[in-house]
Amino acid sequence: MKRISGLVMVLVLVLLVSVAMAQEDPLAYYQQAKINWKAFEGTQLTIGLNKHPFTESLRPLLPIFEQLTGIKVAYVILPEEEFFEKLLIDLSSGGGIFDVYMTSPMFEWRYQYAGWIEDLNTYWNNPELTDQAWYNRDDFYEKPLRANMWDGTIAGGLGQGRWNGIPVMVEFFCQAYRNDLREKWGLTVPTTYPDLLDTLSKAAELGKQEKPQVYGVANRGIKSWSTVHSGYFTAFSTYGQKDLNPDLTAAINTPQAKEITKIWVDILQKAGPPGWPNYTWYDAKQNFAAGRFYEITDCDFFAATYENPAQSVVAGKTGYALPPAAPNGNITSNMWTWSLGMSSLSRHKEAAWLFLLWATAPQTMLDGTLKYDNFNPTRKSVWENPAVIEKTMKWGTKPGEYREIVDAMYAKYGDIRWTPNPDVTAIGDIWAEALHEAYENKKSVDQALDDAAVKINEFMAKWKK
Amino acid sequence: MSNLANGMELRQSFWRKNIALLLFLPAFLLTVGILAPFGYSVVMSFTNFNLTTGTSDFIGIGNYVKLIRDPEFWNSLKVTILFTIGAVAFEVGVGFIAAYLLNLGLVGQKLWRTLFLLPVMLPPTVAAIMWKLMMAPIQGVFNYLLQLVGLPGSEWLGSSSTALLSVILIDAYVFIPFAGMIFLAGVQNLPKEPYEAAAVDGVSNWFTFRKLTIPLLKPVIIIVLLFRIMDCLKHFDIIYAATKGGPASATMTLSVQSYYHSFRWTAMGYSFAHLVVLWAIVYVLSYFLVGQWKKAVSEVHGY
Repeated sequence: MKRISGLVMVLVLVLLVSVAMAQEDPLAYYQQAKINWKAFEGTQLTIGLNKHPFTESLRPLLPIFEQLTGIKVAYVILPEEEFFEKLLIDLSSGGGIFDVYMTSPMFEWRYQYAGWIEDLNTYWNNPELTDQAWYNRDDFYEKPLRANMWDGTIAGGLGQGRWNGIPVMVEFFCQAYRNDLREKWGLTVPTTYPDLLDTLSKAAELGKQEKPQVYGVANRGIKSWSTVHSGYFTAFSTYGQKDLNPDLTAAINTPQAKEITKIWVDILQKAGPPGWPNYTWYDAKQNFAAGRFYEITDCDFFAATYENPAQSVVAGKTGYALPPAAPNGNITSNMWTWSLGMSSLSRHKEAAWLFLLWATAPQTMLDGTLKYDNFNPTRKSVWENPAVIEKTMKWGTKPGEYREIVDAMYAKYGDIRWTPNPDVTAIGDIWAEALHEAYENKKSVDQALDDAAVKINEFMAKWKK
Repeated sequence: MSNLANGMELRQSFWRKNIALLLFLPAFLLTVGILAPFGYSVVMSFTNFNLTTGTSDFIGIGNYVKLIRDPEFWNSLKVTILFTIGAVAFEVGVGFIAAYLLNLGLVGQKLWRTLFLLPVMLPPTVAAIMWKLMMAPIQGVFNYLLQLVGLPGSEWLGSSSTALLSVILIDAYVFIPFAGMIFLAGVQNLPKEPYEAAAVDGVSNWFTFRKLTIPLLKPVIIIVLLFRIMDCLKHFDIIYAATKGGPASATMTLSVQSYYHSFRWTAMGYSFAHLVVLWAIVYVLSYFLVGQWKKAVSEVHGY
C-alpha cells in the first residue's frame, strides 16, 4: 500500500512539474537579461507596420512585451506602398506619430540623410539599456545586419557607420514552380533566362487547357521600385549589371542590360499575369497559392504560405530552384530585408529601444518563425533551430530543397544589389515606368531604358561631388 | 451718473463701430487659413525645396522651365484633360437621365432615390479599392461575369488601353448620384406655367425639352459642370488608389504626378510647380464658368 501511495505521489509530482514546465513563464527568458525592463512603465509606443507576414507574426507576441515592460503598444498597419507614403508624411512633417517603424536599407538611405532615423549604436553601446551578451548580436546573419548599416557615402560605405535598423526577416528571389504540372506537361526547370522564357511561354499556352486557367508566371508589376527590385533585378545583376556607374550616372541601358530586359519583358508579355502593370506582390502570392500560376519568380519566403495547407492549394506540389544563370554561368539574387528602426522624432526613445531589443531577441524571433510563420529568419539560431529545420525540410520536391536555396543565398548568391544613395527608390520608380512602357509597347526596350537613364541622371545630379 | 452714461455710450459705440469687423473675423481667419498654405506653395515653387537634402534655395523660374521641358508634365496635362472630359460627360449625361427617370413618379420612387444616392456616401478611395477588386483580371467578378456570357475578359486597370476608361467608370459610379441629385432638385423646381402653355399649343415633348427644359435648367447644368470640372481637374484619390497613375502613365494626372514628386521622391519645389499650374487652369476655367452661370441665371430669372 505504501509503495502504491509512494508511486502515486511520484506520479503527481511528475505531473505537476510537467504542467509547470508547460506553462513556463514566458517572461522568465527575458528577465534573465541585465536590463531593467520596467524602467519605462506606463509609456505608450506607436509602431508603424506594413501589412506583411512579419507583422502577423509580431502582433500575437505583443502582450508579452506589454506584460514584461508595462509599456503599452499601439500600432498602425497599412499596405506596403501606402505604408511608406504615410511614414514619409509623418517623418517629413515632424508629426512624430511613430516611435518605431518597419523599414529597409533602401529607405534608410533617404531617412539617414533627412535626419529621420536614429543611430542605434548610441543605445547599443549604453550598458544601462543593453545586455549585449544576452542579446547576442553575432547571431544575426551578416548580410542583412550589414545592409542596415551605412556611413552615408554615396555609392559606398555599406556595413559601416550608423546602425539604422535591426533586420527581422530576409528575402531572396528564387524560382518556385508547380512540380505536379511540370511532370504532367513534360517541362524542365529552367537554368538560363532564354530557357525560362521558353518554358514559361509553353506553360502559359498549356495552362489555357486547365480549368480554371493556369497562367505562366506571377511577378509583381506596379509602378514602384519594388517591381524592379525583385525578380527583374535578380536577372539584371545575374547578367553582371549595376543600377549606377561609379560616377553616379545611370547604367541601366548598357547592351547587356537591354538584352536581359528584353527577355524579361518578353516573359511578362507572353506568360505574365494579365494586367501585370497593376499587379502587386500580394496578388502574386495569393494567386500562386490558389493554383492559378505555373511559376513565380518573386520572394522565396512566400514558400511559408504555399506550404501551409490552410492558405494554399499548392502545398506539397511546389518545387524550388535557384534563379536561372547568365550565359557565363553566373547566378546572383537581390536581397530585401525588413527591419525595425527608431524614429528620430520619437519622444520615448529609450522605451522604443527596449521594444527593439525585445522584438528582435532570439526567443521572440524564434516564436515568430515557429508559431507564426515569419520567414526567412535573420538569426542563425532560429534558422538552425531543430523545430524550424523539421518544418522547412519538407518544403520542395525533395527533402531540404528549400533550405538549400536559402543557405546558398546567404552563403553565395544573395546580397543587396542597389547602389547606396538617398534617391534609390525614386530611381526604382522611374525604372519601373520604363518596364511599363516597354511592356505596353509604347516604346522599345532600348528607347524606354535610354529615356529612363536620362531621367535618373537628372535625379542623381544633386549627389555628384 | 453722467460718467456712467458716457461709459455705456462709449462701450455701445465701440461695439457699433467694431461689430462689423468682429463678424468679419471668422471669414477672415478662414481665408487666411486657406491662403497661407497656398501662398507658401507658390513661394516654394520658386525654390529647390527638397525634404531629403533639406535645401530650399531660391532658383527663380527654374522649376517652371523644367516643367515646360518635361514630357511627363505634358502627358499628365493631356491625361488630366481627357479624364475630365470623359468623366464629366459621363456623369452629366447619365446624371441627367437618372434625374429624369427619378422624377417620373414610378412605383417605389422613394426607394430608387435612396438607392441611387448610396455610392456618393462611400469615400472615393473605398469605392476605388472595391472596383479594383471587381476589375482584377484573374480573380475579379467582372471578368467572371463576362466569361459566363461567353465574352473575353478585359485587363481593365492593368492595361494602358483600358485603364483611363476604367478609372472614369469608377469616378462616374461615385459622382453620377451627385450630378443626378442636383439635376433632380432643378427639375423639381421648374415653373409649371410655361409647360401648361406649351401643352395648350400642342407642341411635341422633344420641342418642350429642347426649348423649355434645357434653357430653364441651364444655371443648374452649369453649376454641375463647374463642380465636376473643378473636381476632375484636381482629381487624385480614385486614380491613385486604383492605378497609381499607371500603366505606362496612362492615368497619370497632374495631381498624381505632383504626388510622386513630393511624397515619394521628396522634391517638393518641383511638385508645387505642378500644383500652381493646375491651380491656374482650375481658376481660369471656373472664372469662365461662373461668368456663364451668372449670365444663365439672369436669362432665366430676368435679373
